[in-house]
Amino acid sequence: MAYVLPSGTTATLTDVGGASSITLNVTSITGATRSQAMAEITGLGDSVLKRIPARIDPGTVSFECYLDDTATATNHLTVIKARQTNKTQTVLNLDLPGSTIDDLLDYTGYIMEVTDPQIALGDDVLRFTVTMQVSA
Amino acid sequence: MSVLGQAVRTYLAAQTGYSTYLPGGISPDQTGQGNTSQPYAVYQSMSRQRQRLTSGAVAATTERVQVTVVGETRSSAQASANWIASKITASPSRQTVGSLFIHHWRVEDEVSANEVYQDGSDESARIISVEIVGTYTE
Repeated sequence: MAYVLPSGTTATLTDVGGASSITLNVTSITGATRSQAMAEITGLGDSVLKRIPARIDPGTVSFECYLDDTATATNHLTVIKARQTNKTQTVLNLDLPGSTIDDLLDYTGYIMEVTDPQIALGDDVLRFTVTMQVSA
Repeated sequence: MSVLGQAVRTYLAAQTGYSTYLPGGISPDQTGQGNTSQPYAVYQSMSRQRQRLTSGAVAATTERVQVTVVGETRSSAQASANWIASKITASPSRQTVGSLFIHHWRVEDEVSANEVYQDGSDESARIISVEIVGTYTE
């Protein structure tokens, strides 16, 4: 059965081995591309290139949040930047509504990029984008 | 019912000059039954857009509301419309009005009319419609 994203999806960032956890104000998530590198093992006498699977790159995952400024010093942008500065290994956990898929989209990694919100007069909420290098 | 319109009414009713410029008050959709005081204003929601998270929660709502000022003369209607615009412009940014948190609001279009029934006859009402656009969190 196809899965259509219903209301109720939550995303949390948690320290690996720590209790610190925040529930993100996520507006969208771009999933990681998990890629398999291929090693070439073609011999000089071979007429066809031969490749075998090598290491897997878990890729990067990026997500967009709106700027929650209810407490300027501790808003999510500040918290996530602190994780980047401190090189905190972090788990991004997506809890999709449904009973059997809660662990389907979990990513463990490090905050790689944090993009500050675009500032332009308008009615849209301010959003910032975070890119996380998946490390495992 | 316009949520932003309610906030506009709450806000304007607390401003200096309310009883002078809008003795007939501000009402949703149409003025109160039996109201004989002019100028008065009515408001109607024109559109409302919600911005949602993946959770489905509404982060912010943008609404366009039309406030229509009705006066016996062009000058009285215009003075009341100008008063409304000046009060909105005077406090354009972050504020709590009633139960709403207003991120910002502004006055956009203003349209004048004196033919309510489109029958060619002179009418006792002069009308100015002011559109107010605001983004808020409930």
